Order: sequence, then C-alpha cells, then structure tokens
Amino acid sequence: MTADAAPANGTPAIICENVGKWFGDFQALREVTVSIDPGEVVVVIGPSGSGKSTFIRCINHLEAHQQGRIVVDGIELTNDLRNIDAIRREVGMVFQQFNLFPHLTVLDNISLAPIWVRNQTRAEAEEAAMGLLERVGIPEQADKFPGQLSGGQQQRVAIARALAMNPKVMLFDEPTSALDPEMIKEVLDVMKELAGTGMTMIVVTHEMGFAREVADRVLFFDYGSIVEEGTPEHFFTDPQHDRTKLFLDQIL
Amino acid sequence: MDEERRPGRVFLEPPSSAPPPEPPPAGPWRWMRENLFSGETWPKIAGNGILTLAFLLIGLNLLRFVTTYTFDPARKWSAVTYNMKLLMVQAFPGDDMIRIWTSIGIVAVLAAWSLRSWEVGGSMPLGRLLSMLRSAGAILAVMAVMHHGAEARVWGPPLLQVDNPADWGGSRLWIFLAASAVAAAAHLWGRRVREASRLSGGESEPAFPVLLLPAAAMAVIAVVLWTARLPVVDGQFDETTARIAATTARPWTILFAVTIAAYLLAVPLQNRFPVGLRRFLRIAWIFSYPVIVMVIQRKPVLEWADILGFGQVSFFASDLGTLLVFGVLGGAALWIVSLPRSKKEVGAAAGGIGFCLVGGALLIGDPPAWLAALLPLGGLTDVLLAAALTTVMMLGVWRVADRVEAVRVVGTCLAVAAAAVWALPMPFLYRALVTAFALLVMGAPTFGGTPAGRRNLTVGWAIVAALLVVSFRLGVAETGLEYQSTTFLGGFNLTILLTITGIALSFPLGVLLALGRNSSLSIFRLVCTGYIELVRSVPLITWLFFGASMLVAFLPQGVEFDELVGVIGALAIFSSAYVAVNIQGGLQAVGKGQYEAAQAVGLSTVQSTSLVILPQAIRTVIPALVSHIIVSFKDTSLVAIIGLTDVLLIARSAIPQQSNPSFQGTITQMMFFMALFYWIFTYAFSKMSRRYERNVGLGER
Repeated sequence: MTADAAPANGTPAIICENVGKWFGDFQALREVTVSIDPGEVVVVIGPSGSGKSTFIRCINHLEAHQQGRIVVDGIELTNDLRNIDAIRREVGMVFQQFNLFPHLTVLDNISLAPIWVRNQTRAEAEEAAMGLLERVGIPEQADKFPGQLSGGQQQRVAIARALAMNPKVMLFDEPTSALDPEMIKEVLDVMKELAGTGMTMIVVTHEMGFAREVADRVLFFDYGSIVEEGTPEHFFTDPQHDRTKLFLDQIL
Repeated sequence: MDEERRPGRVFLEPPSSAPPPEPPPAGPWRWMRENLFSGETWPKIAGNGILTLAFLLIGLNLLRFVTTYTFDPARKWSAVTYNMKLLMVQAFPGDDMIRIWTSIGIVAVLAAWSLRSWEVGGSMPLGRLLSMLRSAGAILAVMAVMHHGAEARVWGPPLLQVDNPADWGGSRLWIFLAASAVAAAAHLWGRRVREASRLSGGESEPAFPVLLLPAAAMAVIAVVLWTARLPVVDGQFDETTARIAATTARPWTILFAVTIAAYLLAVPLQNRFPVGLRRFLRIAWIFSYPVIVMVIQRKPVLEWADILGFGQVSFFASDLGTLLVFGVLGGAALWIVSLPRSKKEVGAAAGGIGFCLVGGALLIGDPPAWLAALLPLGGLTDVLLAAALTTVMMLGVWRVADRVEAVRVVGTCLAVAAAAVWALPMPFLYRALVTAFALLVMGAPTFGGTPAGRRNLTVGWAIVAALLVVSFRLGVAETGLEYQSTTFLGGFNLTILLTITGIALSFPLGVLLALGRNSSLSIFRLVCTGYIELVRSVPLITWLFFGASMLVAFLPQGVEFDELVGVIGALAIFSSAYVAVNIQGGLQAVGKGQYEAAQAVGLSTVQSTSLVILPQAIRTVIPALVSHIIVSFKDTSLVAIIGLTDVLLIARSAIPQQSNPSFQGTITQMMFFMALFYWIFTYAFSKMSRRYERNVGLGER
C-alpha cells in the first residue's frame, strides 16, 4: 500500500498537520505534515539532528509538540492526560537503547503493562507473553533478566513488550543502531515479519536495505522538515531534491 | 550466553583450547613473597618489607594490649556477667521474665524457619573452615606467647597496671595451649583431607554445612551455662558455688533446643510448601513485632466493656462497633469504586456512597460517639456542610469521563476530608481510620481494576481497619506489669524497640519525601525540600528533646501519649530525612529511558513510579541505606540524655555506681563490653545486607 493508493473512506492511523517543536530557541520540527494509513510501513531517514526521533517521540507524547495538530487513531493529542493515556495504550514504541526494566525478568517485562494497564490476570498476561516470545524466537529466555541477554535478544524482548499491549501503531526509534552487526539481522527479521502482518509502523533507521525491502513509503527529514517523500524505488533511484541526492551519495 | 538454535543455522565447532600454563607451586614462601614483600626491584622489596614489618609490630602491640588487659585478674568482668539481666531488660519484673523469654523464642523460631526457607548458609569448602580455625588458633597462640608477665601497654609507660603479673598465666594458660593445639590439628587435618581428595581424583573439596557452626556454638554455650563457675564477687555471692543461675541457664537451653528443632521441622515444611512458607514468614515477621511489644511484653489489661460495647459504653463507641461500621461501610465503598467494568455512573455512585453516608448518618437523631465527634459545629450547619461537600464531589465526578478519573476525584476529596479531621477534637482512632480509608480510595484506580485487585483492596481495608482498632486498644490499655521504672522497657530491649520502630516508620516517610522532592507539583517540592533541609540541619538530640517534651503542643487536641512514643516519633522524623536523601540519589541514578519506556507501554505516573522506578532506585542505594540503619542503631544511645535507660546508660553509669564494691568503677570494662556488643550486631547486619545485595544484584545490568 502506498500513499497515493490510500483507501478513499478509511480514516488515517496518524495525521500530522503543521507540527512544530522547539528545544529552547532551536527549532527541531518545522511544519511537518503527513498522513499515515492503517497497515502502512513508513521509514524515516535523514542525517542526525534532523528531527526524525523528535518526530516519532511526538506521536506518543514523549515530547510535547508546540504547534499544529497530531491525531492518532481518531484521538487528538492534546495536553489532556486522558487522551495521552489513551494514545499510549494504542501506540507501542521500541527504543534505540532497548530500555527494558532491568529488575524484572523477561516474562515480567512483557506482562507488566497488560496486567496493570489492561487489567488482565497474571495467568492471561503470562500466556500471551510466552506467545509473543515464541513469535520473536526466544521463548527459552523467559525467566532470565535483561542483563543476561545479548543486545539483539534484548531488542526482540522490547518488541514483544510493545506488542503485548496489542497496539495499533508501532514506533521504532533506531532499533538496530545500538546493536553489533551480527545481531542486526535477527531484529530486522522480526520487524519484517511484523510488517507482513499488516501492522502500522513508523521506523526511524539507517538500514537502507530494510527501507528498500519493506517500506511502503520513505520520508527524508532534514533540518526538521520533510524534504522528500515517496516509494522506495522512487526515493532510491530517482531522488528529486539535491539534499536527498547528497545524503544518498554519502551513505550508499 | 547460550545461542538459540534454529533449524537451518550452521554452528561451527569451536577449536579445542589448550590447557593454561602450570602456575608455580604454591607455598608459604611464595605467599609471603607475593603479599608481604612484593615488588620487582630490591628498593621496592625493601620498602614494602619495612612497611609490612612496621604494621606487624603495631598489630602485635595492640593484640598484646588487648590480651593483657582482658585477662588481667584485676579486671572485674563479673560486673558484666552478674548484671547481664539489668543490661538486657533493666527493671522488667522478675515474675514476668517468661514474657521476655517468649519474645526471644518467637524471634528464634521465626529466624530458624527463615534460615531454612531462604536457604541461608549452604556449605563451605572444608578447607576454608580449617583455615579459619587455623588463623584463630594461631592468633591465640601468639597472644599466649606475648602475654606472660607483660604489662598492659601499647608503647611507653603502662596504660593500665597489671596488679600481679605472676597470677596471670597459670589458670588461663590452658586456654592458649588448647588454642595452639586446635590450630595445629586443623592444619594437619586440612592437609590430609586435601591429599585424600586429590588422591581419590575428586574435583571439588569436601564441603561443610555452614549452619553446623551456630548449632555447635549453641551446644558449647549450653554446656558452659551449666558447668562454668562465675568469678567470685565480694560480699553478696556465695564464694564456693557461684554457678550461673538456673533461671538463666534453663531458658537458654530450652531456647537453643527449640531453635534447632524449629529448623529441623522447617525442612519438610519447606519441601511441601516452598512458596507458602515464605509468604507466611514475611507476614509473621511483620506481625511478630506488635505482638511482642504490645501483647507479650506489655501485658495489657483489657476492658472488655470498651471492646464489646456493653455496660456504660454504647455499641457504636466500642471497638467492635467502630470496626464493624468502618469495615463494612468502607469495604462496600471500596468494592464499588474498584469495579472493573464501571463507567461514569459507578464513579458517581462511589461519590454518593462516600459522602451520602456521612450526610445521611448526620440526620440520625442520636448519633453515636464517633459520629458526634465528626460534628464539630452541631446540628444544621453540619448537615449543610456535608451536603455541600457531597454536591461538590458529585458535580466533580459527573463531569469526568471514566471510572479512573472519577475514583481519583473521590479519593482526593476524601483525602482533604481526612486531613481536616486531624484538626477536629475526636479520638485518635477515628482520625487514623478516616486517613487510611482515604489513602486506599486514592490507590483504588492503580491497584483495583482486576477482580483479584478488587478483592485484595477490600480485604486489605478490612485488615487495616482491624489492625488499627486492635493496636489502638492495646496501645491505650494499662499495663499489668509492676515495674519500678519510668517505662516497662529498658536496657537492650529498649534499644531494639527504638531502632526497629524508628527505621520502620522512617522508610515509608522517606520514600514519600524523596518522591515529593522530585514531584512536578512545586508545592510538594517546596514542602519536602524544606522538611528535609530543616530536619537535617538540626542535631538529633534537639529532635529528641522536641519529641519528649514539646511534640504534644504541636499536635491536635486529644492526642496525648507517652514520652517514649514522642522519642520514637523524633527518631523517625530525623531518620526519614536521611532516608529521603539516599533514595533521591537512587532516583537520580535511574535513567531517563526507564521513565520513557514505562510511559510508552501506558503505565500511569503512580504505576511507573511504584513498579519501575522505585524498585530500581532502592536497589541502587541499599549500601547507603544499610549504613544509615547501622548509624540509627548506634544513635539510639542518645536517648539516655533525655532520661530513658537504654543499654549504654546502664553500662556507663548504673553499673559502675552500684553499691556492691566489686562493681564500682568498672566503667572501662563496661565500655569494652559495650563496644563488642554493638559490634556484634552491626557486623551481623552488614553481613546480612551484603548477602541481600548479592541476591538482588542478579537483575542488575
């Protein structure tokens, strides 16, 4: 599914209109406008400091935007705590540094939020968590602590933890940047499998191979605004903007 | 790290590794060369060697001083042994000593079960035990060589003149000889054991169960209690048969037997109910404390008319009536506010229940005492006030969207009402009950929700209410003990009570202060920072005076208590500031990513704090908290200044001033003994905490 082939009557999963964000005097996001449909996989690339991470962190309100509108799954993100809570229940996030809870076992990491936020019983939540661990390929690590796992395994646990809340949208903030080269593939495999199931995903990454293979659409950020967007073929073979050409020349 | 094995993935065989190079043979010379005279060049070796020898000399001199001082016949150690009861329990009536023994028994049984249940001890290599025995024996043997005819001095003139050097030796020489023999035997046996295990090709050394050591120690102490003769004391005691009294020896022997039996009994229990026993023990430890202090040692005289409500007392003013009213109504309200499927109307109903109860009950013609206490203004004004408050709550609840918000509004209103009751003249118990209820309602959105959480919350309220009612009754009842002192507690008994209560109260307070200091609400930050800075900048002794004599003036009407309670409050206030500072350090050590991850999975602020942030923060600062607990334990000795007779006061002034000439002026001995006594407890505690740190360290990155 691509941007121009969006269903006529379906509501977009995420709408951003003229989103602006400042850190002090520094403008991190400039009038970002984008609409993402359910089931779409959007890859966000760009040089460091270009606002990619800030953009996806605004979507689940880890950063507050100061201008414009963000609507997730029909709920507008305002300073109202109830809306923020409702959106966070529907949006899963995977961090560059994994951010697993080091004092809990892998199984408890995954089942914590379903128990406390979704009010599931412990047995239900743990059964679901085991299912997710099967899905990311490490059921035998359930009783270990995060510190005993490799980076790739930790990141897969982090994906399972985000999936445990049955989110409608998944955000990935450079999920493979902190990994050894050997472990990148195992994480990307899990993400590909997830994309195949029709999950709406926004992925900030430097993995161009992943972008080419999996993305429905690529957004190129520079200085806080979207410089270019399009399908992967279009983006990698026929970039329009000079800035995009320069970036692609440097990394490919 | 074990790699996961997926079909289709190829694993290369790792190359076989060569054995490490053979180390040079071990031996005493190599050990000395590496540890005492280390270094590559001669000047370095000479320098290190001189340092080693110098410190060896200093150490030996100190050892000689301690030896000659301790074993000098002029030392009246009998001041310690004959006054042991005074030191431990001060003026606790002799007829009721069974209460003290029962307390120790409860602690001993729980300790034995806990040792078994948490699998403390395990086994150590036999070699390590033998080397410990060898070191201890060798040190005693060195002391034997040095003591003879020596004066008690470090350097220079004698610090303490030994009265008759010729006396010393003879009678005690056998201790040292036995020690040397033990050392030699342990050494030989250890070599044989190691040889044998090497010959039989066993990989590991034979192991030795560690818990046999305390068991053996108990057996030795029991034998000593029944056979040893106390040193002769002039005057009061029979010089020929000064044995340890059976009133001391018999209870201790029984206690040791009970402890060992309890441990053995716990073995099958632990195998049968591995989780259940631990849960039982956790609860039992918590309950043992009020039971021991309030029931067993205090011997409360209970007025059953006040408890059950007959005679002069109306049912609603009795303990049972209060418990029923608060327990049933509060339980019903909590049951409703924690409904899992509820929406707006349930929140509204909860608001209704909470305050219509009060409003409706106000209209009853003849309100019971606890209700009358709620009515400071009387008549119509109260009804109007309650109606207004209820209306505010109903409106607030009506406007909010979902159950969670509704319950939060109810909880906040109740908390304000709870804070207000502390300003009203009413029995302390009602204030406490209303406050506890408000806190539980505020926690309902976080801890309710699931059917299990809902049940826990309601049952939890019933338990809290019952505990409050029972402990207030036990606390205000007169004691049936006939003690000749200001309080029934004294000596080490008092020290332990002050330490445990002070710490137990200061921890929750400290955690709340630390969280408040990090709060986003600036009024919380201001109040908590102000509290911490004020409390820390005033000496503990000032707080103790404040607690003992001035605190009552600051409290609401109708709150009066014993000097002891004020002192405990002062210790808790002082200690909580330090706990807060420590925990705040831990909070800062938890990375920002943890807050973000907790928020991203949808946890609320309270949930992410209590489930993710605090557990990590507290783990980080366990060493600091342990040293704080040790400091607090030692600081309890300051209560002597405001007239409470703790163990140190007895040792420092009561015993050296006794009329018996043998005990007069024995302050140096008593201080030596007290140093050893405090050391035993603090050292045991720091060992325990190190074990705990190792266990929780498993989850650390």
